[in-house]
Amino acid sequence: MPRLETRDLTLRIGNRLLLRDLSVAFEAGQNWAILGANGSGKTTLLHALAGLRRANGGDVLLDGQAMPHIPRRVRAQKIGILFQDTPNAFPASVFETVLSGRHPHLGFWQSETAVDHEMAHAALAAVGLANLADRSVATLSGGERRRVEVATLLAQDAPLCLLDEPVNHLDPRHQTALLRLVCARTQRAGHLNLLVLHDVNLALRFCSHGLLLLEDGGTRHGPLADILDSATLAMMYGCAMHEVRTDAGRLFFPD
Amino acid sequence: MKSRASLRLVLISLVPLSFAFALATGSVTLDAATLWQVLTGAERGLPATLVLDLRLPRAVSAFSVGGLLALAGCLLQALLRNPLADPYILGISGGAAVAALGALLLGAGSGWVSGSAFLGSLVAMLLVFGLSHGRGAWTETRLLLTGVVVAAGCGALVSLMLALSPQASLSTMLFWLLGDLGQNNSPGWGLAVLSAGLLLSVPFARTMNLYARGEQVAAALGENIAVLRYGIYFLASLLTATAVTLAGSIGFVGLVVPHLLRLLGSTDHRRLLPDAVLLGGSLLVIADTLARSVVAPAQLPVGVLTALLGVPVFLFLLARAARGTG
Repeated sequence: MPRLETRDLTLRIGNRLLLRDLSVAFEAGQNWAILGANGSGKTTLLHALAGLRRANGGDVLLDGQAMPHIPRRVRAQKIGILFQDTPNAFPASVFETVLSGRHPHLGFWQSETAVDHEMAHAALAAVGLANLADRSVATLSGGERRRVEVATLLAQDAPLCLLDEPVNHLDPRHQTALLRLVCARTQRAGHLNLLVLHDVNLALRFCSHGLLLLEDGGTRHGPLADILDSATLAMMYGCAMHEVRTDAGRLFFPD
Repeated sequence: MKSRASLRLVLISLVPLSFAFALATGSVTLDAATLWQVLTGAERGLPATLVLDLRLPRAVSAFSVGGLLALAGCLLQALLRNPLADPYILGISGGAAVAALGALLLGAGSGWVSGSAFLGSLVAMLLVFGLSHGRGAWTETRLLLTGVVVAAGCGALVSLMLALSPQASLSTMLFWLLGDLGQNNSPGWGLAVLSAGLLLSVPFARTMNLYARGEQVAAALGENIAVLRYGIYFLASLLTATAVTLAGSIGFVGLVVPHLLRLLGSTDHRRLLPDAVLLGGSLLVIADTLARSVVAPAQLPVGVLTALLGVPVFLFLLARAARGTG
């Protein structure tokens, strides 16, 4: 049974059709790249897959169970999501923020234990921010804040991770370090990642599968190397795309 | 960690200190020894009457009103995710003021005034809730705008009543508007509501931490945000309504106490909510004692004192935090 599955999933915002009758199975061990032009519905799809948004048609199934029937906390223990942008209305320390990822694992009357603290520290160390634990999030740079959000997701320790533009605000070194870190998690049993990306080349390098959102709610999905070519990308992004073959693999760039 | 533990210690010791100040200060100033004798029951004369019948009830109601306002301020700032929110921002005090001044205009006694203030705040709460809910989604912006507009409407009605009221009742009305702890006969009520509010809100404090980072974050981590939102809204409204009923609209405490504590490092709502009750309560006990003793036998409106005490402290901490040493 696939860990996450859509059956005839249709998504709309207002009168605009974003996705029509998508049926796709996301299996454990896979890293999926979700690609599409601005406004093509990548974020909306990710939220629907995370159970945060009702489908306009069809179903999202987590471990074979339809999303609306899954208790919120159980869902949050299985699915973690990194949002494109997380507002911070009030000051909070980096460590407090990362520790909040443990929320779904705690009962109503429980507080974080030493194990939770350890996991939060480990998550901060994994993104290279162990020395900033006591800083206020408000004093961090955009890239550092992004890595704090990723550390929060790691602390949540959900087998399914949905990441919305995870490399936003990151320099090239941190982009690859972060994707390597996140994508390596799928080597653990039952783990699966879905990443919304804008960089086709990063997707090719780190992801095994791809889901392309095209015009009028159409999609293309499958092993990434098989579905990516310059003609499809040109149609999807609405601009000419060139392909070059290098020792490091195929690269695409816009005209 | 260590500095947070010592902050809690300071806040806890502030409570008996503020009460000692309130009980010893007044027309007859008592020294520590006399005060001790009264509290242990060794002294039963005039000092005992002063302390136990007059000053203690007033200090208790000051503490509970301060605690109520600070707690409601924390809750509303978290709910609206807006650092400018205070307990009065959603029109609750406005509704109470219209009703209370109406009762004063009609020459009602203090019991009627309190009763109509409570009723007025409930009407304002339901009005804002109903109007901002509409049929569509309930966003913070919509709630905030509805509340601010209702508050403005109430403000206009209050001005109208002040303009139309006879000279004789003007000062009573102004005192009510600025906040007054003088005519409080049942301090137990405030304390009971305060305790209930704290006990109800602290279990949800961990969820409020998430909510402060956006409702999406809270939903993604497994929380039912709609229920949480209604819960916070009604609890904060009832706390504010109780405070306003007991003492009129005392400004500043509900806005600034939460920020003061955040600047001092109490950012986790599980610490912030109890800390706010301790600091808000103590602050109002001190302010009220000064209000009734500085220019005795005349009394100052306590709201003026809270602001005069709090503004410099707050600005100092803000400047310190801005320099990065906070």
